[in-house]
Amino acid sequence: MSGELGRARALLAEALGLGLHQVKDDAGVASLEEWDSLGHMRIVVAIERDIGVTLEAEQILGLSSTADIARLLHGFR
Amino acid sequence: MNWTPGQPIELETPRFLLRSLVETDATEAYLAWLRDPEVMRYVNSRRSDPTLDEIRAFIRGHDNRSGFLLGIFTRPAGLHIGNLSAECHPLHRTAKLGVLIGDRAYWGRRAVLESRTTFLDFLFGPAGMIKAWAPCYSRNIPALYNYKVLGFAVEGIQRSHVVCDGERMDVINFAMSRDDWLAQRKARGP
Repeated sequence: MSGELGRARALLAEALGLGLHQVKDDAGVASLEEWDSLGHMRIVVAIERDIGVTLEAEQILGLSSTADIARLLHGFR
Repeated sequence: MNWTPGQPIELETPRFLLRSLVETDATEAYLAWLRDPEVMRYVNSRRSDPTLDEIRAFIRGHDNRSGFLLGIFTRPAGLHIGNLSAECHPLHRTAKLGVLIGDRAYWGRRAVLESRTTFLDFLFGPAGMIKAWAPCYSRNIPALYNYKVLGFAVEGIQRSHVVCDGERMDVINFAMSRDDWLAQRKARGP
């Protein structure tokens, strides 16, 4: 999972227009001001581009932290 | 709040005034929202050529008893940026929610979270509702986010239920009970 955690941080940083150092391993909706409704859309688009799959609503709803994204990426390995 | 059914509503949030729309709120700016395909993408009532008369009729159709249509106005400038709506069932005491942020400059600025919180306080308080629910297009990602952040639960998924961008799409039904809302508000503090 550590590889996915790094990818998740990179995806989050790119989607939200942040530096990688600003996205900690435990970052999430509560700690990132930029993770608002439009930010969530950008994150989903970035993930879908990365894995080449359109996410289901349940998967989209399950994303609220770097760890959630890492788990999702791990599932598509 | 001192309110009797049928009386226009006026609510305040830190950044917005929420008030019952009146016919003079049917402006060219409002009409422009309804003609913007991006704004209307996930709205069931979208149509090709809406008119000001239709907006006025839509506003008249809300009686502040079972139908609420509140404009979201910036404070103190008074710029109309969007609407909140609720269709309330008096027997079941359920409220079906709707929202439209027409001014795209306010997308991603937590306007829905802030205004819906105050609207839910009203619906579960003076309006006496027991449950609020809302259908949401499954690819309306900002809306999914907003329901989730406010603690709504997914009650069901209607598969391939609507057409959007030429493709069939699921509809997610979100719901919030009054008890859950009050518990959440209490936990968050004032």
